Amino acid sequence: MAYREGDILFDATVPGADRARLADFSSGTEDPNPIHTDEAFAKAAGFPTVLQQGPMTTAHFARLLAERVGQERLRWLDVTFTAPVFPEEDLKIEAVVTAVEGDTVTCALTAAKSDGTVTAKAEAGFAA
Amino acid sequence: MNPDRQGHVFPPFTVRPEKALAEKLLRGQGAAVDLETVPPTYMIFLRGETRGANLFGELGIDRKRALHGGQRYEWYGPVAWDEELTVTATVEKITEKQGRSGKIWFADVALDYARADGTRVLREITRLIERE
Repeated sequence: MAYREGDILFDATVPGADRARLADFSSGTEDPNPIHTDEAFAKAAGFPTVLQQGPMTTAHFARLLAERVGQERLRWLDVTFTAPVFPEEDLKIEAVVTAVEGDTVTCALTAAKSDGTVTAKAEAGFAA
Repeated sequence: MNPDRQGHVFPPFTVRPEKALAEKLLRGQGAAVDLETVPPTYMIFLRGETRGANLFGELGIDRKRALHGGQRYEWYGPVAWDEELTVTATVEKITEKQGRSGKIWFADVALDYARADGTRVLREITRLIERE
């Protein structure tokens, strides 16, 4: 498939994760950090409640990209977490093509809450 | 954070993708449980914690003051369910900055995943932050 700069690869809303999903994700990634599951620990760390895992946003980015372009085409994904995500917060996740050079397509990805707060930014590359 | 751990290379450990863990990872995302392929971010530094590469412990990071700054994945080849990979984790860089309410440390740790024949299939970089 031919890609062009400005192409929207996907524009999806991922429903907020409840605490059971956060616990599943921690189990699935063997993450022992109680900040994702223990309310008292999260508050002691200065947050109002437990935090959604940053790698869950990375996983959303990678999964949606793989669904769109094919997992075997993924080359790299570089994610910066910019704001915490709390339980039940929906995320709007977008990916837009920023460059097509040779056989490599580069895109910019963002995850944002419904109030517009950007929680993660990323750049990814995949084989055209 | 212990800045003197920059350059530290952890003893290699092995990891083999497990469908039961992948199912939880996908359920956690709220995604369909499709186990045809190993999910692209199945491999993650956290799996080293019980396999001899405890980043938080080695770097002296207090989880209550820790933040996850970001991640990078570089995919070089497919990973199969029955494939055991050898993982080498290296503390590539530790930097210190002065924030508004104290010092902040940043650590970049790279994990290289290789097949038995030495072929690298994945590189993961995780960026850990600790507030003073």
